[in-house]
Amino acid sequence: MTVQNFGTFEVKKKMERIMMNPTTGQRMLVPPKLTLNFKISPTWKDQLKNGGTE
Amino acid sequence: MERISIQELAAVLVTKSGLKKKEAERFATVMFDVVKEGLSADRQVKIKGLGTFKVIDIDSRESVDVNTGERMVIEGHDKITFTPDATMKELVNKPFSQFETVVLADGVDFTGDEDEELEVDIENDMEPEPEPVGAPVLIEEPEPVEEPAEEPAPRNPPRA
Repeated sequence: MTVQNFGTFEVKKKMERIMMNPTTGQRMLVPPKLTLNFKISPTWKDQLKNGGTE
Repeated sequence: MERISIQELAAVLVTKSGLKKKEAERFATVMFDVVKEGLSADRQVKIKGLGTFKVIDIDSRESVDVNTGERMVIEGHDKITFTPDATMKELVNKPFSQFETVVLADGVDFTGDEDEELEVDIENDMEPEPEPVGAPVLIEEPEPVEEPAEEPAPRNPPRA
């Protein structure tokens, strides 16, 4: 979902993966999931880059 | 991927909240402007049921120009991050909500396994894994090519 001059919200699918706790050595299988991702629009991004903190 | 516009968003608002179409559209447009303003002013904007937008300061760093290979400096700048809140995360992940993280027993190895059954239920919305090929695929033998009447390697001298 794109909002002009603001950004885009996108649903991304993450594959399952194996994670390990380095301290305990315990391994876990994290299931696949859907995440919400936000990407800033180029217009706004430029404004930030040029102006620094507005 | 669908591209949803502010108008469509506003239409949903109308259905859900009883706002008039014009009000809903104005609200949807202004809401994002407010987020931008809030970020300029406070560096962080939290919307309940949606998530948190934050302004992150990125320090200058040295890098290399990809085209010339010259060393260059990427100036310090701001970056906007968004983290969905718990409600939103659940809503987005709904088709996969039945999955759980499981602890693996020692010695279990999932790398490269495609036909192992996993300890999860696969229901409707899950994309089906491609089935491992069980039945042998029939490959048609190409018809034996008849030998050409002429010699494949020309005996004639190569053309000048």
